[in-house]
Amino acid sequence: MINIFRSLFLSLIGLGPFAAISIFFIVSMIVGIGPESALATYFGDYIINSESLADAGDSFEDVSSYLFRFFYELNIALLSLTIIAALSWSASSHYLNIDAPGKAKIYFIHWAIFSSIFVGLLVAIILYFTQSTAYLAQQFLSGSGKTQIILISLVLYIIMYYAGVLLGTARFARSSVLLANKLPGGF
Amino acid sequence: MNSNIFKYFVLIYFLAISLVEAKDECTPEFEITKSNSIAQSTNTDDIEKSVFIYFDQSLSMQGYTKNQPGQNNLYVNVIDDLQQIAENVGSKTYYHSFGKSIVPIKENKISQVIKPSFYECTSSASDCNNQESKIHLPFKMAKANPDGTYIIVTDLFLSSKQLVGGTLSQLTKPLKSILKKGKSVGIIGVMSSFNGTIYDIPTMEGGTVSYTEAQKRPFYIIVIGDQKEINQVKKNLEEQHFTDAEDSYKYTLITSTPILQNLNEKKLISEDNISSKVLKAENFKFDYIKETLPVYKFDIRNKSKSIKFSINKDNIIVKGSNGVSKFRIENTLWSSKENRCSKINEDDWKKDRRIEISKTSGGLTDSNEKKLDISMFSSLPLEKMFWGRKYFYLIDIYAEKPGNASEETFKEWSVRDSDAEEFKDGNPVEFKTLNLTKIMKILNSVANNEFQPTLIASLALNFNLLK
Repeated sequence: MINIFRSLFLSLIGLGPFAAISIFFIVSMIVGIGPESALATYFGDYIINSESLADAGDSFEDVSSYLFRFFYELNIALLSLTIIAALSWSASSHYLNIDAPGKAKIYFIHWAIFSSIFVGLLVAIILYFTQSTAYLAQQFLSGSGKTQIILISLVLYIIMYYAGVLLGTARFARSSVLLANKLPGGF
Repeated sequence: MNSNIFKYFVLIYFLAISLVEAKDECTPEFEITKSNSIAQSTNTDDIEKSVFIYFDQSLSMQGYTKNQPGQNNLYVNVIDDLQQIAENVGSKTYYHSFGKSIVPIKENKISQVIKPSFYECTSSASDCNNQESKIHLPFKMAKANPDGTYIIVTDLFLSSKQLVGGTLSQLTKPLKSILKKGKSVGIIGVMSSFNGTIYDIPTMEGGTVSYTEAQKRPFYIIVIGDQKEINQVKKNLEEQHFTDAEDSYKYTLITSTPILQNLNEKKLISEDNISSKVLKAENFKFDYIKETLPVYKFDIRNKSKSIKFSINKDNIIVKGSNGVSKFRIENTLWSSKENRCSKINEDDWKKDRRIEISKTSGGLTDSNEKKLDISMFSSLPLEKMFWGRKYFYLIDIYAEKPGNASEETFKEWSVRDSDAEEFKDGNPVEFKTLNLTKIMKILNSVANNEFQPTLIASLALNFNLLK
């Protein structure tokens, strides 16, 4: 049991730096950012469809509350999923008990399947937010803005998950995680 | 004391009701476009008018008075009844003949108009009134006294030289003045039997020839006056003479105001004008606000196609007129992020900067075109608009450009100067009218110059766009 807690702790260390970025972003969205801030400018220039908004007589300020809600709810969902997935793998890796020739490969297959499910869920959540009509703010995003949201979210949360499972996977199952066996022995 | 409390209570109650009603209108701040008055001159009082009848006395008219075996002589019948028709229109009727000049006809001589002798002249050609037909003379009279109704009976056989330069302006100037005063010109063409000589048919060499083999030929009754009187003359003639299917007659109304009315003034826009898709939509409601503006309220999905709005031709276009060849739309779209009326403030309404939103079906000139269709949200589809909002769409429909239906109506009875000799050489039984299309073109062009773009309808859509 102590090993499981150690794994969870190490996993949280791996998740931490990236989760901090996400939490900072979520808090910024909840609190609201000023119209002059760099993030607001970035949103205005690259994420929202300024032309359509201007056609309708609106500006970024008019729809910012919808956009902020969209972003923080999206990131809360993705962050929650990533943390749950990383911690789940870290804990469950202690219960992998394979004793067969080529077990490293079998460990890797388990991890690959789990990670694929995680990535699938990640993609599904992002698409639900950006492509469905669940969120009103979705219609204010430009095509390139949506692409950026999809790519940045995937990169951030996949790296976050990888860092979490890299450090949190049980030592005997390290071979399951890509490049994990290259870690120094202290971890 | 109690009575004062009761009064205050009643006052507060009514104030509350009016506030709720104001909120219920749920509209941005806007002004209703005032319609420019449709300047049809109508005699609303009971003052009886005078009717002036002018008979073309040129020798080419004589053939209408002689019967042609096997052919229906409508000229004699129509002219016979014209006196009675004129009396229906006005209180006093004055008869004249015109040719080189206008000559009054004594009452006891009126019956002579349908006799061949009326068109004959025993004096020298220079003294006779039957050598030419100066059609501009009755128009001049109509200009001088626009209160009367003028009926001109003629064969409208005008050579090209009568339709250019100074001679033409003698016709167009009084016509312009007549149309400016809100009067109209009705032209009734009647195909009648003909047994005589048609003079002054132009040849390719520049001279003129005559033709005697025609058995049928159209004559024209031109009525200058108010649309009401023109229609009365036309109706009487139709009822009395044009009952048989074979009776060939044509009618057109030259007017600078082919628009019958503004639909808002008499609240003629109803639920029937809009597509059933809107009628069946959730929360549909139809109401007039600001007294004359019809508003359709409803909820609609943003995947919906355009909304069709139709206006019956008979409600906007004067019957028999040239119609309208082009309509114009002026529209404004507002949206509000807040879609509950009770929570919308004036500031919540944002004006959309897009103006290409809807399209009209085109003109209303052809007799087959029965309706003006407007495809609302065809240029700016609903799916390109933000859902989850309330929209207010105000649309003004203008008649922009008059049509030229009369040119088409009379085309088959017209022969050009250059084709006249060749046409005559074909020994036609039914002879056409020289330059009739050209005459119509000239009359239309004068009327069209006087035409003012006219607001025919204003309406609004107030809808929630759902996802």
